[in-house]
Amino acid sequence: MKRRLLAVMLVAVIVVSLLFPMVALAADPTVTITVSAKVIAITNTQDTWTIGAVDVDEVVYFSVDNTQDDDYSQIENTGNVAVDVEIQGTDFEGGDYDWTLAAAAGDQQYSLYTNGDGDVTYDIEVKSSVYNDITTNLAADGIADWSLKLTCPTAFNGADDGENKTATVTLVASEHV
Amino acid sequence: MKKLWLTLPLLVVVLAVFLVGCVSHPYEPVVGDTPYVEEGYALYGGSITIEGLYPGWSGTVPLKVVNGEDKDRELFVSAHSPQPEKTKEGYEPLPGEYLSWVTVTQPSVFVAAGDIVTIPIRLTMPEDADYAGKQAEVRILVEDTTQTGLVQIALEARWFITTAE
Repeated sequence: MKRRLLAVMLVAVIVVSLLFPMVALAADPTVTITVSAKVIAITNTQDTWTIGAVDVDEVVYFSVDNTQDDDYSQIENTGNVAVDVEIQGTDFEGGDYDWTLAAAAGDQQYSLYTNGDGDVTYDIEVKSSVYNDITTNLAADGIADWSLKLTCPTAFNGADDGENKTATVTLVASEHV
Repeated sequence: MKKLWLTLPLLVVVLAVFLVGCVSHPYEPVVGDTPYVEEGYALYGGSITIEGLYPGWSGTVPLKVVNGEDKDRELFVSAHSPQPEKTKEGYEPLPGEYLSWVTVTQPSVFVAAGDIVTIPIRLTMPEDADYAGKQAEVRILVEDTTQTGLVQIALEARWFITTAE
């Protein structure tokens, strides 16, 4: 009798053991994570710009002498997949008065636009809050020429504080999908 | 009767081993050979797909950064939701209230010239999350804080998350 009971319980447990994994799998689905072998990398040829002293309303371009040079800098896709490159800027900070980055120049506000892909038209706004595309679907080993057009504030608060100001522009590369 | 009491615990252990094996689902990231980078730095694994995410799941997703031979770097890693118009077709930006599911446990990372670092990023979907059957995108931004010029370079990995129905 004991042996029979033992055998029945053993069979019951084995059956449960076989069934339970199916139930567990149904309740907790598998999470699949796939990391692509895609390499994201870019380089840029010009990373500094010393503008010098400027006046109100003055327009200067990212180049050696502040004059328009549409292909002054080159972004190269050094990864192995096409990328989108976005651009974002910051305020000019330093001295007594900062310059705020804005869509249009104004009182203590400056504007910054880029041409993207070496165009003669500077119609891509560089914003501080969001990223705008400077070039899209740039193939591996591809090169995109670009520059910047900066319009100085229409008025300097408290005249000119005469202090150096600095800002940064960030190029962000991600896979083109 | 004694045999029964000896056998039962053994069977319970066998059953437990079955259960642990079924509930835990380790993943195997699919990656190839690590690239050589001469200048700058690179992300290895530009896009990552995470499929079948369900409430209660938590795991670590690796982000591999390859530093160039040119210099040491201090990297800063953060997660954010992309602008709606910049997500992959069929995906939405992961809503801001869920961005806390993605945590970078070590946001600042030093990497010596020529070295490779794998940065673990934790993804956790809370038990009470109400986000079934969705497709969402998250960006992992890697910035080099040692850059000093006007123009700086940052790289982003794109995460494509699909939650279970």
